[in-house]
Amino acid sequence: MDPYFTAELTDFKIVVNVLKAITFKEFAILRPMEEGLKVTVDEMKCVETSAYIPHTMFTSYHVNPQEDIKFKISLKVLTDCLYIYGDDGNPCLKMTYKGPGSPLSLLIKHNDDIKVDCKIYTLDIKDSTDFLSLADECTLNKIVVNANQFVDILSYLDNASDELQLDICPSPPHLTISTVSAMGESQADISRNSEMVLLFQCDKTFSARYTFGYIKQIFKVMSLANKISISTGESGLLGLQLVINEDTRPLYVEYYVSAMFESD
Amino acid sequence: MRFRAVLVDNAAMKDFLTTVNSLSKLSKECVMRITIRHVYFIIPDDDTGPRRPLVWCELPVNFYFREFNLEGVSHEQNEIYLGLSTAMLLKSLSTVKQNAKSLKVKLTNKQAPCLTLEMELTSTEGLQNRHLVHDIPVEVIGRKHWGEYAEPQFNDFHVSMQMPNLKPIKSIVERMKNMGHSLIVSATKFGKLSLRIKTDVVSLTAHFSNLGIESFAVAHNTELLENTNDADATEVNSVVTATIDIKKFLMFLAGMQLNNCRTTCSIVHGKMVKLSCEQPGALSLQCFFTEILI
Repeated sequence: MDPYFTAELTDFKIVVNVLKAITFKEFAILRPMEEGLKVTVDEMKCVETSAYIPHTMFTSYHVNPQEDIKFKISLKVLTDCLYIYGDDGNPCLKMTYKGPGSPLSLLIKHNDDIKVDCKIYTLDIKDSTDFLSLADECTLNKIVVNANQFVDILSYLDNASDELQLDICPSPPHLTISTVSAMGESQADISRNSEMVLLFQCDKTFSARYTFGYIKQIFKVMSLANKISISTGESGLLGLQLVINEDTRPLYVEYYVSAMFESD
Repeated sequence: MRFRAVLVDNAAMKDFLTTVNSLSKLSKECVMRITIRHVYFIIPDDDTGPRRPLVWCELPVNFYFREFNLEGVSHEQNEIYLGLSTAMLLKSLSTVKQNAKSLKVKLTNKQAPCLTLEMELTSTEGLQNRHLVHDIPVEVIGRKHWGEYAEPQFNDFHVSMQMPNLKPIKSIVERMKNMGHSLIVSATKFGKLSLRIKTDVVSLTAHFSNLGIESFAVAHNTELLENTNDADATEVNSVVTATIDIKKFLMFLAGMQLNNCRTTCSIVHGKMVKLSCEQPGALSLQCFFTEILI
């Protein structure tokens, strides 16, 4: 029988870096789809992060089109395996997943004399978590910003704060990010005319608060990204789409976090 | 007891320093054994019941020292065993990196027994030469404890093979350490070395091929030989395996900063792994990893 999923990849340093940056939790769900490989980490159903590696990034990529393939795997072990040679050399990787119950096999070759053969045991996903398309939820506003400058702004905010408030408004100051803590308040206003804003779509005023700790998780990935798209949904859901390695072989990370409940 | 030795060659001093540097990465304390022909550094294995050396490092006297005077405990046992801190020795020795003209190593009694290092440094600005003295407190080890530091003798290795470049191995073993505690080392007679780790989540094997085999003993697994047919027996007998503590193995790889050293890996099936580094005529360092029980 044909294996469910096989793929070959060379020069995957950036993939490893992205996967390492999203390892917030031990386990991740891998979904090889025809368009590419999606790696999803979720936390308490209120934060979801996915890395999406398009099939064009692979030197060879094959999935069994009849099956909806998804399995759970230890992401920590996966990144450790992919990073097995450290920063040394330029290894090539072959991945195989035969089907439910089989391990994910990796064959990583450094050169003719050194190779690593690895089997990571997979877990079947029992509960039928239907993957809601969170992208469809986030339709209210859309802002595209330059990643570098946006990361700088976020890092200027008061680190001790527990909450982060996001205000988007069609009139000035357009985009406001603010924090409040015992130490004081910090606020950043970004105008739609700022050179870091590449796109600004907003028809309705939006305001929501988020746990700063969750937003901080994504900082590491943001620093790898070129562009960030910020979108929001009616329910207060915040979606960030990150484009990494834009010029050569792009790779995407999606991040969704739900808003905090207002206490009053 | 008297001991006095002099190093004058700067290259030899630096070699001495590199060795001490490697040792300090492996342990905080070590035992220095001084004999007429060799100076040994021994690091005992703390985990085993009867103390056994984990690291055994041998330096030939004539390579390093120009003058070497030794008067041991007695005429028959012309040896001295000293327990000392590797970190202190390293710190004191590190001055030889500047242009030291000579290094004297002496056993002295300054209120307590000390290993005294006297260095003469040439000054670059045409000033007078500087004279530097370091006293490292040592513990003189009594004769009744000498047995604990005897050289481990193993002649029954089932395989001895050359190790590949240690750098890629180090990074591989570093990742493996994050996944598990025990490392399965196996070697075949066809020059293939594999390092394997097996846990509930992952099974990972790193293969190194085309390595030089120095010796290989067949039929090491006699129990299996009787019970299985010939074809299986040949299969079983072509692989030698031992399971060791991954942390200690990594410690050796991380600590070894010795250049142009030939590293050999020897395995006693199901018992132990020995790694030895050799710089002919100048240094031989052996590390012993015993089988761990899971």
